[in-house]
Amino acid sequence: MHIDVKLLKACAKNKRKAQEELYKACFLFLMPICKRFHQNEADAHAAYNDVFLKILNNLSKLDLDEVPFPSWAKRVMTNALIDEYRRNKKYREQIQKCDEERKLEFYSKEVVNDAITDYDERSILRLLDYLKPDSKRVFILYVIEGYSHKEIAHIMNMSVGTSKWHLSIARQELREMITKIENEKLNNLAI
Amino acid sequence: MNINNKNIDQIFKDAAHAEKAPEYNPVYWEEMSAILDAKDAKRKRFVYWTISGASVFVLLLSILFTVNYKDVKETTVLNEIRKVEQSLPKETHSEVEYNNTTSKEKEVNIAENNSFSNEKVQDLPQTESNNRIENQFFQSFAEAGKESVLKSSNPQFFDNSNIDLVDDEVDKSIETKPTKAQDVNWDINKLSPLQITSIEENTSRKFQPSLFEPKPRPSYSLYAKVSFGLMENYKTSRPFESGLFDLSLNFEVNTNNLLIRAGVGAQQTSNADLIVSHRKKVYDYGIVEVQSDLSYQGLWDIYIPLELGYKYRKTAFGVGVQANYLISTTMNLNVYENHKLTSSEWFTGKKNGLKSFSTQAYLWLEHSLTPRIALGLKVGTNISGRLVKNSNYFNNSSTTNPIYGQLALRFNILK
Repeated sequence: MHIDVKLLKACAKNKRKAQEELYKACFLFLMPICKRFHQNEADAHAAYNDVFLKILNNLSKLDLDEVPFPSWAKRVMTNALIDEYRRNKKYREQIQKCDEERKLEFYSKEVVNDAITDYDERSILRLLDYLKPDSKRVFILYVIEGYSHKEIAHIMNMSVGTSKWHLSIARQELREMITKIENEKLNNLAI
Repeated sequence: MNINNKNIDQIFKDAAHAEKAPEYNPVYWEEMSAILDAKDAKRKRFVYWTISGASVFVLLLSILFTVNYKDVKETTVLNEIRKVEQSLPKETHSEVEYNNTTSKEKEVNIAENNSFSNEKVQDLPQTESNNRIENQFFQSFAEAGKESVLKSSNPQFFDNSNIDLVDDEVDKSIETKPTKAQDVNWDINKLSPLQITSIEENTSRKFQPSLFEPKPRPSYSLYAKVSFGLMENYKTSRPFESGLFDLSLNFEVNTNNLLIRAGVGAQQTSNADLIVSHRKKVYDYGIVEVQSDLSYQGLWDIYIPLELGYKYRKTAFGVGVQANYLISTTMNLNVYENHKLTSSEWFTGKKNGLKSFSTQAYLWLEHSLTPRIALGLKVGTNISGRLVKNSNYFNNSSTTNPIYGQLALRFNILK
């Protein structure tokens, strides 16, 4: 993803037209990250707007000729999402109880949701929502975003060991879910 | 089916990369643009209020200093004249008289015989009153008669080799004019700036402060202060929508015009619109998003102010901080279900989502109108916000550190 430095400089000078261009350009590679961290579209969109505002505020401080903008913007986005997660941790914990119930419901269902059995990309990624929030974030950061355990530990304010533990738990749970889906599919085929 | 770690990672990595890019909708930008407009408006408003506030502050400070400076100048000159008159010993006074007389004589002689000396005197800026004083000055010894003056003076003045010395003496005689106050009957109010400066310079040179002069001792005063003004509204950031009212009892220590003040007071914020919100999802028949907005309107604090400042004559100015403890509130609880208002209730004394302690910082300016009463101005802001962080509540206000301006009336109880 390449973004013209002139466009970035115009944005730093508060040119609204340039900011609109940048908003469109960033939408393509930052919005998917927001969607991975947020379960619903509205929250993801609100998070994207917050981060875009942060990006604009900090553009003037950035050496635009030296620093690669896309990776810097991704970093800002990830940090902001983690910060936001930390701020609302208590609120999330309340929701998490409901998610646990949903998870039990998922396992108890004889017939798995059609959307999941379809096994497309979106459905696979939706399985992440059934993980515990911390495990989900560690998994996304490590596997999809490519951060190291050391970086994740720093971002999420936890030890490297805890990060590894969350990754291990996430993998185990996802493996169980996929196995269950595969088995359901085989059963359906047999019938 | 055996799925190892590598497979799991690859499945999700592939799914993430193969995921369709989200579709962009122009409505998204309209939303973002509105946020940016609001931010720009806020910044402009902040700059406008900062510049206007600072200008008013500087203007007021200049006016008060000008008033004080004029007052100081007049009083100092009068005091110095009185000091000169009172502190001259009898014999010294007569010596000065004698010296002045001889100087005057010399001046007359020089004026008549050496035109350059006269020109030197005339070079000085002449005003109407100055001329009058000069005329009186010269008339006082003109009557004595040129001949007798010449006889009483030293004949050496007619020696051409002493012209330079004579010149110096003329200068000295001009400088010592102030000691002729009794003879000439000066009108202080009509003195020219040159004469005032000359008096000040002379008196400061001749009369050094006594070594036995007592050092200034700190003075103490107890005073009550009432302040009222406007504050930025938490919700809208508009500077005129909230009110701030203070009442305090303070103690001041004045050491050599350096002021330290402390006290205790009560503060009321009205129409604050400080909103904290709480969200939750209720899993019922479908998901209901419930948002509770706690809209605090009135905030009552007790506070301890600490001020440092400097007093210049009747005007004092400085900086201050105050620690507030929130004791009570009035609050409107609005509950929204799926973004629709379902209930609204009024509470008093609740502090949910708010910190008990908060701090403010301000600049202050004060001018004494009478020995008992002073009028002041205070401009400040909250430095630590009132909202609790990392809790179930989130901020739904436009600003957390509102700027405020207040007029203050001080009443000295004990001095």
